[in-house]
Amino acid sequence: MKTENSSFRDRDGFVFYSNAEVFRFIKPTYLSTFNEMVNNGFLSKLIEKKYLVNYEESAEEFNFTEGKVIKQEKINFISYPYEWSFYQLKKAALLTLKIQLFCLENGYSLKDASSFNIQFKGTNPIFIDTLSFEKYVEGKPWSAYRQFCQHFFAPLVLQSYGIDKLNKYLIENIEGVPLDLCASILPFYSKLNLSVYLHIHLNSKFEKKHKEDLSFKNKKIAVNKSKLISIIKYLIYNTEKLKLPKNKTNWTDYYKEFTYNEANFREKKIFIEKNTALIKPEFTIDCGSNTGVFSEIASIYSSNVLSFDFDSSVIHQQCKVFSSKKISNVLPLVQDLCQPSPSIGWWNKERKSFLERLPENSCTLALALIHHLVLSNNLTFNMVAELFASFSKNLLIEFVTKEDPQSQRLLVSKKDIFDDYTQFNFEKSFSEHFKLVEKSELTDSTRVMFFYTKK
Amino acid sequence: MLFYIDPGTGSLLIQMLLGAVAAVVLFYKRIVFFFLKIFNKKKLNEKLENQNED
Repeated sequence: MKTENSSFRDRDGFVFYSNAEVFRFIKPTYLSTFNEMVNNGFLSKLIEKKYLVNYEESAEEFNFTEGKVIKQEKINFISYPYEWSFYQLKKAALLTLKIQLFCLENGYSLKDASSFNIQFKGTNPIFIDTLSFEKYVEGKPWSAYRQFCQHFFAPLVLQSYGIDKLNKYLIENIEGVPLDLCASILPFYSKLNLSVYLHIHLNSKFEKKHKEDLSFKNKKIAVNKSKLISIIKYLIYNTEKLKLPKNKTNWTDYYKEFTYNEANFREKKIFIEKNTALIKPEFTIDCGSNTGVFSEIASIYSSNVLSFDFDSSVIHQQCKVFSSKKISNVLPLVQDLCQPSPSIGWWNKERKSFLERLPENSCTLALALIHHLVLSNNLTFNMVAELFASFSKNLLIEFVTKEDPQSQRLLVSKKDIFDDYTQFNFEKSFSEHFKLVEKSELTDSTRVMFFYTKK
Repeated sequence: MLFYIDPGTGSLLIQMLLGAVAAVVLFYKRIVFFFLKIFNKKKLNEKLENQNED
């Protein structure tokens, strides 16, 4: 039995793992609320709506004298808000609000609105904290409103104004984007937008003004239920209206604009399809997936696909595509292999680093990536091979020669110090960790495909 | 009245104001949709489509 490191905030229970299954211990303090939610069908309705992860009574015996243990539905890959695209953060925000609306209509309320309470199954968000609900008390305002604004609304608004550099702010501050910071960064004209003015600018002003004010303890602040429902509906309306500005990144049109001729692209697809069909991986990790074309192919033969790229706008697009095609086993994430998410929080253990969370023995795709890692980031073939070997059982990798126009593009403003960037050295480094299964040169091209399996 | 997380007094106070604004905006929205439904079905569909798009 191992307790989840991040499960300490709530005194009503905690999450633990046993035999690779996820359990939740409910302390006696919360048991009556929990039983009531079970008996009146509230929890089952949330599960039916696909708002909340499923659970079942635990058949296993644990050493708890009081309380109750439930077995929770397992999420295939745990991701964090700083790894989500705009699409995902918006979906997660709307889910939180819809749950709060449903809660209010049924006499409950969400006691927190942390974005860490949401996980993704494919491109669909799901709420994972079964203990986040409390009985609604008439007249009590929503205590998680500020947290909602800091975790969801502020980062979404910033991105909608083209300020996407703060996507990773939650790594720095687990409490979300402070409203005064958000207000100070947003352009002045954002005050003309009523919802942004209210939830960010005015909210932050109120916060500053009433910081030491404890009047709510004397029950002076009362918001009746119908008004609270209006606030949530209004927040849903405001969040739905948020959109990314229409700017292109140099990656989104990669396949349309660059180098690949049709025949090469087809050969590459066949190579990936043939080998993923052969491997039938439990987990495929597509590193630097761009538009996700190859993740889509892998999703046919792989139970789970993790598709990541450092460009948040291509991940946003991928989410849209996979969602519209109803492909449910691909999880797109924003992640830069050269600086993956660190482990953060208490003892640096609360939220695990990206590499720690990667499943072992996966099938890894690294297509059109090696030249970026070596020529742009000055990594050596050895360093790259070692990293891939740490989590991959099988590796489908594309070698891009230095003569390739894409490699040349990376060297335009850089001194060519890469004499060792040769196919011979590439093969030598990778053969230290992997055994070659297949090698295939793409015709009329400066690229070679490799299928390696771990030694 | 005590809370599980620190709600921020300002964020509680602002909800008294928000409740009123939200009610007005939602009411206005309903009126707009009501008239669009009667007079301009095309524009209504456009609005609905825009809402569904992410």
